[in-house]
Amino acid sequence: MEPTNSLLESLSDEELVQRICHATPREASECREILFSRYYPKVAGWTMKWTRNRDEALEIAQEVFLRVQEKLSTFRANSRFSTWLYTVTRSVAINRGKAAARRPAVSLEHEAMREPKDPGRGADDLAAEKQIARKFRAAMARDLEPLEAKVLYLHHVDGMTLPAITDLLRLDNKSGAKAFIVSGKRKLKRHFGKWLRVQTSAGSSALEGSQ
Amino acid sequence: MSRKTLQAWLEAAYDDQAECPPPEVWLEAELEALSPQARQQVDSHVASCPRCAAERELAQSFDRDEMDLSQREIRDLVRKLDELESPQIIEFPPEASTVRPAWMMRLAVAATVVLAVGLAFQLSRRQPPTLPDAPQIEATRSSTVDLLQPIGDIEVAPEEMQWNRFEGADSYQLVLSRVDRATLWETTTADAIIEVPSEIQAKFSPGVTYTWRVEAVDSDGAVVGRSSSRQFAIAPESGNS
Repeated sequence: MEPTNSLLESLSDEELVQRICHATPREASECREILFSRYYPKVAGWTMKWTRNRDEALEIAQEVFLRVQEKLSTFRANSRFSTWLYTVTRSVAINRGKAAARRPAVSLEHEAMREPKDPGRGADDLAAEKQIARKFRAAMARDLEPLEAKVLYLHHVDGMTLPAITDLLRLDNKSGAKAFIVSGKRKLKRHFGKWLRVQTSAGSSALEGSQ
Repeated sequence: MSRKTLQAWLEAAYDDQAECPPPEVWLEAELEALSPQARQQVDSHVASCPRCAAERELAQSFDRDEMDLSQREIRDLVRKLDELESPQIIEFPPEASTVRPAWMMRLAVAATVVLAVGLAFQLSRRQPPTLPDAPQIEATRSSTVDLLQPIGDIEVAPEEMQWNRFEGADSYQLVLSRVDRATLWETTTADAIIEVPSEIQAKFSPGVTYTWRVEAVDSDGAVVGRSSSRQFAIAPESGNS
């Protein structure tokens, strides 16, 4: 006899995962429904932060659970299920954000397009660039306001849109995250523009296109 | 050395994750599980690291926010996922299919004819047959795509990735990720081997573990087979190729 729904509901997340992987299809489906009932609202709420559009947030959340379903058998319970789910959710959202940021239609006018990588670069160049990047990061932490650095990271590295950042950080100034992008970039150009030109010895501005 | 835009420098500045804890550490449950000393260390780190300060905001909003969803919306999701568990990739025991469809019978007859012709051809040859070259890639008959290489510890960044050909596959979708599940490369190919582009090779770092998997897709776009995820790591002493 298969366990009743109320018994299944009393199971921990990790126990439900075990059952999904090893139980009969019907019981696995019930376990999946219980597990996803616990987390679908949370994942959708989080993806809503990224998209600020309910339909799109649900679409991304479904992609997250599709990935979860695909990888569920690899979950070894070395971490909490909720922690593992967060890493999947974050990865899906960031990849979507980066893909969207690469599309010209949604790029801000003042954003620079990335230059193609020089195929001739060797290991020495890469190592040198990594070293400069680490110094750049340390200097950013020193010279930028924490909020400016945080907004720059969320926008340029994670690919989050400015309205989404405004919402996430609960910024209540008039222009929201954009104000911190503008002031942060101005400081970066002032502090690092010349320095980066020298470091990369390219002969033209390393901050080219970032007006 | 190549020129970079501001955006590229910002990305590069945070590309090295060695100094930062993994992003999920900022979830409340994970923070609570830390020892007081470890908690002090991450608190001290986040004060000077914009990356971790941003990641903490993201993780804490995961703890905090929920969308108001109906039970019906949740059931719809589960139903969709149930449907996506394609029956084509489930291996049924032989006794499950007592009635064989007509196409299967035709296929069996065709296979018998091919075998008979092949056998007759071999017997008619006077010279002893030479051994064919050992196939590098074999067609897989189970529902699993077998990944061949790279797997485990390797000396240099892989220049190509290879798996066994899968019967019925029209193309293959490959996903290469870091262990934090950030996707490095997603691509589709018709062959069971693919060259790793130089820009992807440049992303490999020694000592870091990478995960990859492959899905076999038929001509209708349906996934007919999947590999399990396999990992590889480049030996720390070797550099990027």
